[in-house]
Parts: sequence; C-alpha cells; structure tokens
Amino acid sequence: MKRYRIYIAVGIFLLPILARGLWFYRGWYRSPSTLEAPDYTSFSMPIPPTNSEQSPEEEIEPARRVVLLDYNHNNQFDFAELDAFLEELSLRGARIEFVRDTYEPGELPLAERLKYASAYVVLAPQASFSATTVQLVERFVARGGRLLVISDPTRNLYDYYYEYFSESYLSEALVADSLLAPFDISFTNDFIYNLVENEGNFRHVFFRQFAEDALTEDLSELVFYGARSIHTDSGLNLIMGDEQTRSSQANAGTHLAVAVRSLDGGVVAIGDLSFLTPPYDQVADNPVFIDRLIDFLLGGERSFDLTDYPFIFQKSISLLRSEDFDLTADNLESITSIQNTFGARGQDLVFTDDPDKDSDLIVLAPYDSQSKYLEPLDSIDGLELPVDIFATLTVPHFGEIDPSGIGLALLVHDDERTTLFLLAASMDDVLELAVMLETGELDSCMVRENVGLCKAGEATGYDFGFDEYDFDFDFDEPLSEDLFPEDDLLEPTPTPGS
Amino acid sequence: MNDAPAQENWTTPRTILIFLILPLLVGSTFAFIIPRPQIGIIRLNDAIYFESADALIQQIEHAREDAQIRAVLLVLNTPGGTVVDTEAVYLELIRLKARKPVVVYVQGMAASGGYYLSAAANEICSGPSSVIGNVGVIVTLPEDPFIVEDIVTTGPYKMTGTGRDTTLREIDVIKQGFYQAVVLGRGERLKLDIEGLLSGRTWMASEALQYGLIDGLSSFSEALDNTARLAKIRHYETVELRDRIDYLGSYEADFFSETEEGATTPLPSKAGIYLLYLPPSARRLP
Repeated sequence: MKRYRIYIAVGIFLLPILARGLWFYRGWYRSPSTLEAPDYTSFSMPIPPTNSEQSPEEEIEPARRVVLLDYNHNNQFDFAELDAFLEELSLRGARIEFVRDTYEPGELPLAERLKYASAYVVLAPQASFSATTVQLVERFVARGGRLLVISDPTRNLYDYYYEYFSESYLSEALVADSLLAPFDISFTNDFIYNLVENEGNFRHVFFRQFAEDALTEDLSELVFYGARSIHTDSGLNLIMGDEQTRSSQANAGTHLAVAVRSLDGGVVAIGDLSFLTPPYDQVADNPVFIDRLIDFLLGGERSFDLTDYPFIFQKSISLLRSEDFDLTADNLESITSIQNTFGARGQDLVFTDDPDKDSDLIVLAPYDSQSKYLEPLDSIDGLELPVDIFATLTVPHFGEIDPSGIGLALLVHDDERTTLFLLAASMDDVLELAVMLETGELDSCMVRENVGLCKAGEATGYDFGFDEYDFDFDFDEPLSEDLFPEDDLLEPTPTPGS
Repeated sequence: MNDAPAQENWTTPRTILIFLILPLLVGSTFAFIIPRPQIGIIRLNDAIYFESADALIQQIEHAREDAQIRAVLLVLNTPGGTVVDTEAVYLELIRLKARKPVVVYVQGMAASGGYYLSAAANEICSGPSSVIGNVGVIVTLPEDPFIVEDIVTTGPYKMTGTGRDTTLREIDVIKQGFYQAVVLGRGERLKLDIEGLLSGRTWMASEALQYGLIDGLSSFSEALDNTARLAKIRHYETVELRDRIDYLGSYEADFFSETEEGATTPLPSKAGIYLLYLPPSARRLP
C-alpha cells in the first residue's frame, strides 16, 4: 500500500517536469545524414594544355618585309608583352617599325609608311582613327597590304578604381570598328566565356572549331584568355567557340567567332591579345597560330604605283646614263643629291649606262628621245608622246594635253624590273622634273595610279612678253615719263553738257 | 476491515501533503531545471573580414556550447568578404549544424561569401526582395615579378608572392570549394546547373526560390518559427548572441575603402582574393 503511494508521489513529482518538457520540446534535433563540408584537399589548380611544339619543317626564307606596328592610337599594350611575337617576326625577316607620334623627330607619318609597308598591325587601339587614316588603310589593303587588328576586352580603358577619378569609358572595340568598317568586320563590345569547360577560368576559352583557311591549317585547339566576339557578313569566321561558349552581351550565342578574315583575305581581326603574350603564347596550338599569323603578315603581295613614291622600288636602283642624260658639270650636283636622298632611305642608286637587269631603273629623257630604254612605253595603252614641239601629249587618265611646261612621270612594272620614266619637252625641263628625285615628293604632280603629270619648265602657249622686258630698272629713279607716254594717256570721257 | 485504514490514510491531511502536494511542489520546482529553449540570433550586417568573422565565430561557439540554445538563426545582410574569413565561418557553421539546426534569414543581401555561409545552413529563408547568389571569386591580379635596385630578394616572387597566371588558377580552386559547398548544402533542392550557378549572377529572393537557392520567402518571425520547427521546440525565447560575446564593434571603414571625401565605398581597401559582391554603384562616383 505504501509502495503504491510512493509510485503516485513519484508520478505527481514527474508530472510538472514532463509537462514543462512537453510544453517546450517535441523531440530531438537530428542533424542531416550527410553533413559534409567540401573536401578542400581534392581540389587542384587547372593546368594549361601543353603546346604542340610543332617546329617549322622547312627553312623559311626571310621575307624582307616591313611590318608597321601602330602605337599612335593610345594602344593598350606594352612592348615587353610582345617580345616573343616581335622576335619571331624579325627572325622571319620582317623589319618592324613602330608608328608613333609624328611629332617625334625623324618619325614618318603613317601615310608615308604605308607606301612601303607590307603589313599594318593595330593592337588594342583606344584613340579614334581619322577618316583619312581609314581611307589610307583601305587603299593599302586594296593594293595587297595586310591588316591585322586585334581587340581585347581586358584592354578597355576602364577600371573600378580609375572610375572614381574619371567616368570616361571608351571600348577599344568601338575604336577598332572604325578602322574595320570598310571591310565589313566589327567587334562586339562584349567578352566571351565558358562556364562548363574552360582553361582555369570562365573567360579562358578553348576553341576547337576552325574554318578551312591557311591561317587555321593544322590547328586542333587554341586557348584565348579573355576574348571578344567578332561579326562579319561577307568575311570568313576563322575561329569559333562551341555551344557552351557565351557572349557577355546576351549571355547567349553559339559558335561565336573570335577571329575573322575579310572577303578579300587581306584583313584579319582577332578578339584577343593575350594569346600573343607570354605565357599564353605557348599554350595548346597558340604558337602554331602565331606562326600562321606571321605567315599572313609577310605573305601579302603588295603592288606599288606612283602614289607610293618615293617607295616604289624594291631592288637597288640604276639611274640611266644615256645620250639624253649624260654626266656633266651641270648635273653632277643633282646626281649626287639624288644618290644621297635614296641612300638615306636605305636604297642604293648607281648612275650607269649599263643598268643591271636585277636592278630597278630610272630613265630621264625628253619626249622625243630615241633611247631603247623607252621601248616599254610603247605597250602603255593611251600614251602618245609628242614627236615634235607642235604635237600634243596623250596620257592615260588625263587625255590629250599641251605638253609645254608639262612633264610626265610614268611607273612601269614588267617581269624584270620597275622603271620610273621622267619625261618632259626638253632635257632642261626633265632636270627640273628630276628635282622630285631629290625631294622624294610629288608635290608638283597630279598623280593617278602609275601616271603623274608634273610641272616642268615654262609653258610656251601663252607669251606675256616678259622675256623681252627689262626688269633691271632702278627703283630709286623716278618713273620715266616714257613708261607712261602722254600719248597713251586716255582722254577723259566727255560728259553731257560739258 | 483492511481498506478502512488505507482510505483513512489518503484522506488525512498528512498523507495528502506528503504524497500529493509535496511531490507536486517539488516536481514543479524541479521542472524549472528544464530550461526554456532559446533560439540564438546571430546578425551580420557587414562584410566578412577578420573582425566580423571573429565575432561570428565567437557567437557560433557560444551557441554550440550553450545547451539552452537549441537552434541558431543567422540573419544576413552582407556582400561577402575575404576568402579565408568566409571559409572559417562556414566551417564553424558546419560544426554547429551537426548539433543544432541553423537557419539563415536573408535580410537584404546574402551575396558571394554571404551565400557561402548560407550554404552551411539547414534552411535559407529570405525577405522577398533580398539579393541572393553571386557565387564566385574576385581578385586583383598581382604585379608581374620585378626587381628594384634597393630591395634585394632571394626569389623572383618574394615581392609579389605569386604570379598573375598562378593567381588566376588559384581562384579556380577557391571557386571549386564554393561550388561544392553550395552543392552539398543545397543538395537536391538546387535546380541550377553548374553554368547557371557559376555565372556569378545575383537573384532576387523570389527568383532564387525557383532555382532552389533558398527554401522560402518569409518574415523574420516566420523564420524564427521555422528554426524552432527544425529544432523541435515550442514556446521558445530568442537571444541576441552578440550580447553574450566580447564583440568590439564594427570596423567597416577598415574593410571598405573610402573616397577622399570620407565616404565609404563598396570596394575593399586592400588588394586580395575576395568572395565579395561589388554592386554596380562601385563603378560610379558616389
């Protein structure tokens, strides 16, 4: 009986405890069955793919071409970054010229350099191209010059920190577009990425889709480290991303092109600069692609016409010593000066009566010259030289004209050589025309392709009688009445009523 | 004959006192040994960096050791912060979750490192317009190795610590950790693929809910009830855990840089590797 009472007492004792427990608690927390943190030891740094180490199979003959590297448009790169690329270009025989501010003494402007260059390379420009420059480059490409334009989304003048000091923001894609517009190529102001398969970072994108082109021959994999996409309607998409490669502009896009070639093949645009710079120039097939690019830059066949003067000769030059133009005391100084001018440009010029067949040639002659070296002119359609002082001159692009006071500069390319003919009515006029050889300029000429009409000597068609007039009078002497004889004075006009 | 004394015993005041009232009183007294459950509230209204992380870890440790605290509600409004401090807090939260439920309530923003912390929680609740996500890492690349005349080092990277390319690859390792943390934390609730998650996007909470980045839209009190439900407690009380630790206060100005006029910017004051969301305003003058 007593035990029964104890049980009840214990129960009553536990009752408030139980009640309170149930008031607050309904069970026990069970931690999730899989309570895992990431296994940090299992993660590893992505390793870049090794390059294919394709060495050139055959000895490559140096190209002896001039490649212009633009540094006049606030280009966002350091020369040190391009050391390897420029060295490779040099090894292949290219002479690299940096096109910088023309205010630097001795720097030639772009317009002059494009006259002799084989390729023009523009990397990450930030300053706009003028309409004149765009026209110059368009004309350069039309005549076989090669243009490589590289834009890079990491080279915009834009930075979080800088932005506190300046709100200006200029995408270098837009700047490059102004240069590429004539070739139907435009950069997209974006960057491309691949979140699924990449080379260590979403913006490091693999490329395995290539067009059939000499530039992409034998490529199997490229990696671009921060690229933007490019659009062309008429050109060729050289390098394209896969289905998972996206554009930041729309977070979408398939087979985005990051390198394109213009319809005529003379222009290549690439949306990444990093692949040219160490260490990324040694990843995957990047070195092979760089090699192909150098082939492209040095592979153009430039045509030169008279507008490229004075950079129209590709070989050493012979100045023809003929019966028309012999060495005399009068013209010795001119010849020496011409030699010095050409020498300053690195071109050898010899004065000879037996020009080497491997040399280019300059012929100075009057229109009526009988020199055999004028024979190539016979093949020029629409050219008729005056046989006497009364005949007219007929010139391609210009038609029939009075030859007096007019010289003719003609550039003729044949299989053997390039020949510059400087012709005028007399040898004295020719020598006046030859001043252009000393100055290196065609200031007094109107040039169309390979023909230039230049002022040489005095026109004889209009005689103002100045030759007979004596200008040697003394200004201090009072005017002689003879100059204005009274007989010659006009009578005043009679007025009505006077 | 025998029942009479027993019946008599129950009716005597003495028996009632000893076997009914006294046990009831003692039992009631002892019942107070059972503590009223508490939900510890940890608030982070700051970036995650050394000081704020230290304060968070102290609060988490306290919550873990205090038996009365049955669950933790982590209230976040943070753009993230440094990698090391975020990971340190994250790992402490994982330890805490093994013993007590942890719920995150996003009151403004749980971006980048903030979402990293959220991934450790049993559940994530949020106000409807809070900002969620921004999974990824951000770094300012170091300078290329260089030498100067007056400072001599014993190795090329002594001045910079690492190379630019190496840094790029290192942050991929950190990204993998972040990604794994989210995948493990959210499990089958996550409806975003790797591409979507690692895009670095921020989502409004209502959108984040659709992608399984959070578990629900709620008010703060609902989040508390949710925490209690996971802890299987009722009639709980809440406790601000910051009051129980030796917290020195906010050092916000030390973490974020300032303009010349003294305004705090959303940019960190020091270069480094961050799990940090930089809002668009970071690119504009304040």
